[in-house]
Amino acid sequence: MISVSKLLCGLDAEGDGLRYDAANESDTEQISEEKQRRPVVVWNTTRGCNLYCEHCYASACDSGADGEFSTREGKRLLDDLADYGVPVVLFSGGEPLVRPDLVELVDYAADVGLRPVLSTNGTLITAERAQQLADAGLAYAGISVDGMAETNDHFRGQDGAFDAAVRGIEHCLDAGLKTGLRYTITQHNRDDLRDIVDLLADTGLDRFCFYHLAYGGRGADISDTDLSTAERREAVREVCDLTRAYHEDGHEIETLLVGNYADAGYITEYARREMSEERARTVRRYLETNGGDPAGERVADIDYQGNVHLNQFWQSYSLGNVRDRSFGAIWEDDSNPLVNALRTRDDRLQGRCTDCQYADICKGGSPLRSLAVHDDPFAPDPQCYLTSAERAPDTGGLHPTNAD
Amino acid sequence: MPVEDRRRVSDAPRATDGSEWEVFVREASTDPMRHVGSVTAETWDLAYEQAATLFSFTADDIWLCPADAVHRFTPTTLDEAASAAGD
Repeated sequence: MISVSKLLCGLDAEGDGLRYDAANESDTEQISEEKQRRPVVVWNTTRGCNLYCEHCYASACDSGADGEFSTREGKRLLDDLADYGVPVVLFSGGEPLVRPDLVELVDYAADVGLRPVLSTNGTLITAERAQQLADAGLAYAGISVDGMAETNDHFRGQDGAFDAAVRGIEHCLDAGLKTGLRYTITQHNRDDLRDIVDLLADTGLDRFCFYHLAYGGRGADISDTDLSTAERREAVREVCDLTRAYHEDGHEIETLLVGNYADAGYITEYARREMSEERARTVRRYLETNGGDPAGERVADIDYQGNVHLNQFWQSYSLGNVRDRSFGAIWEDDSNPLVNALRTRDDRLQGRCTDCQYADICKGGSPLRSLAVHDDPFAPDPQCYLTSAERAPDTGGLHPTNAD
Repeated sequence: MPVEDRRRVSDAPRATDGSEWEVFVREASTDPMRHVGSVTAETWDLAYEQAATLFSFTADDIWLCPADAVHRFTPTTLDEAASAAGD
């Protein structure tokens, strides 16, 4: 995750300690783990979902899967994660709210010292459940809305999903829950981006996470709807522009870009062109501690059957299963050559990455997308949208480009 | 470790879209085979394609085994449906 509001507007937020190792500079209470020694863990609690979204990485459907964890097993897993020192557990799915024991699991996670957060489509969040989750200690609810009403409902396969999700957001805010938007940008919804921010900011939402399309699960089946290079530059620029506009108007929204570390180079160049050389240097300094794509390092995934993955989108390969051994033992097993290579991937960059001045803060981007397109996880990310002038080390990227 | 300290992990499915295949690689002809995780695929040849794209950068030999053909015994206690090793 790259916090646009932090980098361009200096906004303090709770997650900055994880992203920028910047807890010491912040007045905001931080999710702090020195250099984040342990990964944030996404737990797909169930495959079951009440919607059928086109981009679902977990291939969720209307029923749970055989082998899903019971409540007791879930609590044992949470104990295991807490013992290992995991800072955050993200309850995901499928749709986690179809599990009747979700509140109990969130409550347990908080009790054992994990920071429980939620990824949901929001449509099942009633006022009562929002309050129960808040009382249980839920620290954050990320609610997926992928466009204005018509776009979102088509994408999610159900009329009324948009209205239900907005009601869910309102219930969370009323319950005092820190709440944010999750928005995956594709060709279908890029034109709705500013409208959705304006609409939801009016409801009181102040956190907006924009995801680049991941080529995992059903997301791989709709890669033809992914943004072109020009469209991606336009979309990221719009996120930067609207973030600054909101802050200049005194409305300090938090905005984040997720899933494509070419954003790191783009935002640095944006800061240089649109703001100042000093701001660009500050942006770059923060991004140097962010660490590039987190797969296999700062994020992990445990699916509904206990398989451990390199991130939540990379479901086709598993490092091991937590029914066989502890999560920490799987994650730290240094006999796995792929994991070792991903953790030292600076040494394996290829093609356009080898002479890119942002390689150290991007690290080649998403290995999953490279695998999907090039059959090689160490090939350059096919979503890289930096121009050759921006990547050029000899100019330091000092010259404005005409690509915007 | 005493035999009775291990339990047999239940036969709960490990994949929903296809089958799970345990992957083993050998990096040099004198090395032992090493378990490096599993891939999800409908058939062995698709599983091989996946494993090869992940591990060809380092592996000479790649072996695949259907995960449901592997009986696992462990002292780990997470699995609620695990049974005594001899059952």
